Amino acid sequence: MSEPSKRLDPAVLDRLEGLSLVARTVVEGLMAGHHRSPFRGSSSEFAQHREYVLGDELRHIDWRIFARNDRLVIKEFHEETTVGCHLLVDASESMAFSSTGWTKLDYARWCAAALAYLVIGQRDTAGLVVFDERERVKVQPGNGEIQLQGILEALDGVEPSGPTSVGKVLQWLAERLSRRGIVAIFSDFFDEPEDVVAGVRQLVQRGHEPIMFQVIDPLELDFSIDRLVRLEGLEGTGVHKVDPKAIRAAYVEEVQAHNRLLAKHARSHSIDFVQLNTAHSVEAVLTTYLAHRTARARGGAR
Amino acid sequence: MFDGFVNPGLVAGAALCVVPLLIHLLNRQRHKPMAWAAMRFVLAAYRKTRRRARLENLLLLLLRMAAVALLAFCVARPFTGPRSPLAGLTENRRDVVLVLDGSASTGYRREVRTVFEDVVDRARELLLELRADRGDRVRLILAGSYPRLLSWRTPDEALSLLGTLVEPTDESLDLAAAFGEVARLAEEDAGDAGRTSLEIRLLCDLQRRSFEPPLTAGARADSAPLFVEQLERLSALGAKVLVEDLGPGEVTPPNLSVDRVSTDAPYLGVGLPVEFEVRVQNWGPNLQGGVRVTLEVDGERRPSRLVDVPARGFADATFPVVFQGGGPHVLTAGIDADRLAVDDHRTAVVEVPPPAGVLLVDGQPQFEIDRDEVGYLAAVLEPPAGDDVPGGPESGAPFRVRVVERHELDEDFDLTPYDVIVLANVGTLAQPLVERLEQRVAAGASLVITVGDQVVPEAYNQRLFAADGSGLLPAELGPRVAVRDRRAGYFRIAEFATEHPAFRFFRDERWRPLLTEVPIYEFLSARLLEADDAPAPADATATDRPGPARAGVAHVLARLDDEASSPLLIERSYDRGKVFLWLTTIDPDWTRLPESPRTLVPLVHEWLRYAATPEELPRNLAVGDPFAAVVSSFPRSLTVVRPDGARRPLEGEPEPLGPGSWRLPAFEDTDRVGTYAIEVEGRPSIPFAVAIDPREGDLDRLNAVEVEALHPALAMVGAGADADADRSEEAPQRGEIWRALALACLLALIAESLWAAWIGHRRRLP
Repeated sequence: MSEPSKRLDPAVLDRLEGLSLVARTVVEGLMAGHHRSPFRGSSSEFAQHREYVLGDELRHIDWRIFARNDRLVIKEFHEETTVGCHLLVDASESMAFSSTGWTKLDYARWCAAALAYLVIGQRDTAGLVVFDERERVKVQPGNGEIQLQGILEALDGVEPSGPTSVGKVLQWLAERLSRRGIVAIFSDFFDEPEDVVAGVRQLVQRGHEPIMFQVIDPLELDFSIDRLVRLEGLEGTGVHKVDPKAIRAAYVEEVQAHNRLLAKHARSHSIDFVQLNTAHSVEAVLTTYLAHRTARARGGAR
Repeated sequence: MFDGFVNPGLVAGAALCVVPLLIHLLNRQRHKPMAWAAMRFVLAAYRKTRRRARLENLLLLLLRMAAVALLAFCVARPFTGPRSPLAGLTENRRDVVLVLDGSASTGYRREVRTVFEDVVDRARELLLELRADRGDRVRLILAGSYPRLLSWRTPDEALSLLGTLVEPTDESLDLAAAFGEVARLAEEDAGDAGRTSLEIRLLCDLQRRSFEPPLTAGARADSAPLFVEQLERLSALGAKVLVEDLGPGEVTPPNLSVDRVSTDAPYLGVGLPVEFEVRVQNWGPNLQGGVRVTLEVDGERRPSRLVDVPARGFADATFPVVFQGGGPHVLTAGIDADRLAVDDHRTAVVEVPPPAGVLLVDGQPQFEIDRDEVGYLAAVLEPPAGDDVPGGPESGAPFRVRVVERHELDEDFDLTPYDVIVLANVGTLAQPLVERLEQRVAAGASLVITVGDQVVPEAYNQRLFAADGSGLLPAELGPRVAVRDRRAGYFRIAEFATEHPAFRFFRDERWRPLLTEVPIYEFLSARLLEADDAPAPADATATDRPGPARAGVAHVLARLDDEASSPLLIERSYDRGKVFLWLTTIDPDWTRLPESPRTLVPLVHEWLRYAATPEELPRNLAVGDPFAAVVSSFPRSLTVVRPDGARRPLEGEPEPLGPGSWRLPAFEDTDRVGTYAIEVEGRPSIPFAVAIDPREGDLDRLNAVEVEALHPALAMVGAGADADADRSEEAPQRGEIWRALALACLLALIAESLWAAWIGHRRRLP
């Protein structure tokens, strides 16, 4: 990205238009979209045959098969429904960290805005929740240009503050998200892995499909600081003088262990865990991820 | 742990070891503040690595501090003794000072070898014990009348220099000077530590006179030797002098020496028989009978004499000598060679003056000798030829006399050949003559002025006297004083300078009345030129006339018995010459002295011999004394011939002393006994003799107890004994450990570098 901006770069949006966000689980939809619903209804795409049972609609009986076999079977058809997408953005103080010129929160809002644009552009619904240790801003799921604008404005006005409590917030939100759908969580997940996993598990149990987008600064990953520093913890975690070179190896080991644990739990629940390095362009990472996800969904459908 | 430091002031540098600590602490203040989100991971990593990081940093800091402290201690050069726990790290380097007795007495030959050869061999043994690879150092001092520091670095250098020492000096041993040099070296070595680790050895023959106080006039018998002060300096530094006796076995070895060659004759003259005494000294404990004594005069040997010399006594052998010509003559006396050969011969240079040129200026010439102003005087100075006088004309009269009248002293008359110019009752003196007289006297001649009726005091005062002493006269002439009646009374000489050479004859009480009872009827009074009248040297140059470099004050040599004790004979020096003022006549006009031959002859002869004798140039020197000759013409091409025949140019510029007089550059290299000569182009060579101190032949020795009783810093050790044993008992023990500290510092720096590199490598992310 050439310059930090709270608004999404239109060029990026152009690239994302060609992709679709495919939900791998069946969700209820209020509006017909081009996502297939697991529920068989009167749509044009044949799904399968089954034996006629009393009460089935006679118009679905496949008369050709009866003529051939004297068997009464009906046709079942796929029904496309709208997919709900919940964008959860962590706006705690830890998301204010930056070594690249833009904060993690900036990066998260860009990604969230991009997804919102994409989802709504596919006539799916999207909602937004901005949280720190509790919900701060909420935009109910909806679709249409007005919905998109509302989401973008909400993202625009967010400032990082407050402590992190991702896990508890996810658990709280899991009970309150009105419609099953994709839950894209943008956070650094600097919380107890167990709490995070518990929150994500709650979402799964509620029928949602969480996607964990870990937004992390490259300096937080490699701790490549070459001088003595007095680290002033965001979110009131204290002040500590350290020699980065002395603890770098151990730090990196801790970060990697934390992320591995999160990834491991995510995999065990078939959840995507995507690490977003703020040094990389939003377009690149989302494009890569969505392409991978689309390919996976098509291959699974066959 | 350390007994001390060679440079204790530098120990303070060890405090710099806190610099790394300060840098470490200051660096902790320079942490850059930084907001951080992932603090949980930082804290987890910090907890995991805290102890190890602390240990790593602490070790690094300690290594840096240790390196600085070790470097500071290394530069301060700590030392320790054998009982220290660090004794094993000491260098045990040896710093040795060897003082070799190079005095003439060490030329004493026992059987085949001389004491000096034994001294050199012993020094060689000691040097061979040293090791250059261990850093041993040696200072080699050859001691004589002054110490010569021959070598001050490695044992090998000292050994090579030792090979050049084949014979001792001809000097006496000055222990004060030698120990003074040793004390200086010890003080340099001690530095600020206040203690020295030098091993000091004196290899000598224990000659008693070297260790005793000098026999100077006024020295008390119980006065301490001069070297005690130097030994006190050494004691203050904790040093001892180990003395090794390499002398002859006897306490008083036998030795004969030629003590002196001299004559009692008051005057030497051509053709004048003189007796020379050669004194032979016996320093041994036994009578030496039948000692053959020889004398060579200008290379011509005279018949020898045999003398018996008592134990610790002397005997004189007398040789009659008649010099056939004037000038310097070389006399060499000798005895048969004994174990110490250097004192078996002695050379002396004797200056035989040619007949003195005496110019008598007759102020009142008369035909009759008894009426002529200088008649009696001339008769006394140069007896007429053909007279029956002992010796006759061939006897070599001491004077060459010429009588002239005043008018003959024109500007063409050369005064140079005359050593004495007598103005006898000369009436007037022209100014040019006065100036020429002044020049001649300033060049070294003597002027004798006798008065009489022709002398006008005012005119003399005007021409010859100056209140500032720049004139010739030593006194201002006053009016004539005369007895009222010659038949009723007369003046006598009341007192005279009995020690003055002019009155040598009259010192004897028997002959004194010949001088003091002679009637004097008239004289001129005079006011002396006093010391207060003499100006400061600067004023003397303010006049137009070339004045003397220094105006001498007048000395009254004889006074009359009048009420005023008037002076009769006054002397003053005038530059290099002398002026005598005789305030009565030299003829019988005012005194009967000329009519008394037994008075006149000895008086005039002694007086004018004295007046004609130039400033004595010392021709017989001690070893080391400089010699500077005076010549009457500008010297060119100066060469010195040493006793061994070696010739070398005499460097330097001659110094003009006055008209016709130059002092040659001083020759100072008189380190060997014998006859030297200075050759000057166009004139005869100028010989001079250098002789050994006659007491150097006294080989009486101290024993060990006497040596150690002189001062606690002196310790006798056996020659040839184990040097290490001697050293362990007497020599200060101080081993330096700076090398070990330097190595430790280096190791600390290497360890610090390696440890820092290892930490950096380990903390680097792959």
